[in-house]
Amino acid sequence: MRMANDTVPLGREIQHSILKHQSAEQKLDSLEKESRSILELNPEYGRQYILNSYKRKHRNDPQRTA
Amino acid sequence: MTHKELLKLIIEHDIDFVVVGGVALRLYNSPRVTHDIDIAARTLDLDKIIALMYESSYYLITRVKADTITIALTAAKAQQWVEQTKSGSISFVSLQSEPQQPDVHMQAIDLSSQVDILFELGIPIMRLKENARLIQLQDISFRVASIDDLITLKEQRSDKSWTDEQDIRYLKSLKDE
Repeated sequence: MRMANDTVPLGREIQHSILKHQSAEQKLDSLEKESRSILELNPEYGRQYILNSYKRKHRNDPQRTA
Repeated sequence: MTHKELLKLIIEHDIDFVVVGGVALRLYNSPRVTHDIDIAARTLDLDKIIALMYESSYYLITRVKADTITIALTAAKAQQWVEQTKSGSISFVSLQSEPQQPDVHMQAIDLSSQVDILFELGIPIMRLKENARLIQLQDISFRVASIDDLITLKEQRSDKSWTDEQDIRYLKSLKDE
């Protein structure tokens, strides 16, 4: 799959080693950029994510985990 | 609002918190992508958090259906909902335009805006804070839960997903590095 920013996705191990050398700021920025790319490509997935996240958090009331 | 802007705002409002969940994992170099930010906070700060979120045009979700979400239109209504439900976690989203009624179509949500505030985790917030790692950004610093606490929180889930299992494996692998 090609990402919205037209780059080829990297393997998890390579991504991990790149992230290891980034600042906390860069890690947050890259996470938000990747998230936005996915949600722009597939908004329906984003809506399902909100739906599932809400259901999951409220299923185990009152004890929840992150 | 970016995660950094949100965290800065919470710090400026003197609210104690620890970042947990997928954003914490990213700060520990996990390539996993999450679409929300999970923040553990004290119940004592509930009022301040709700006020802050509404000042920033975020709305509390009170119900989710396939096509619509229901939101509390005002901070006062959000407070009332939390008091009635005694909910241990609350979710906020921002919308593409100001809502006129509580039922909002899913398409109106800014999908990357979800913020979850967690009050009742399996580890008390004070212990999360004690064990947390301090993260320094250019102009702010904040706490992120320790690797051990993130593992414990994930392992405590009775409804672990495939992603949770992957996260646990990943976090445990960090301890061997």
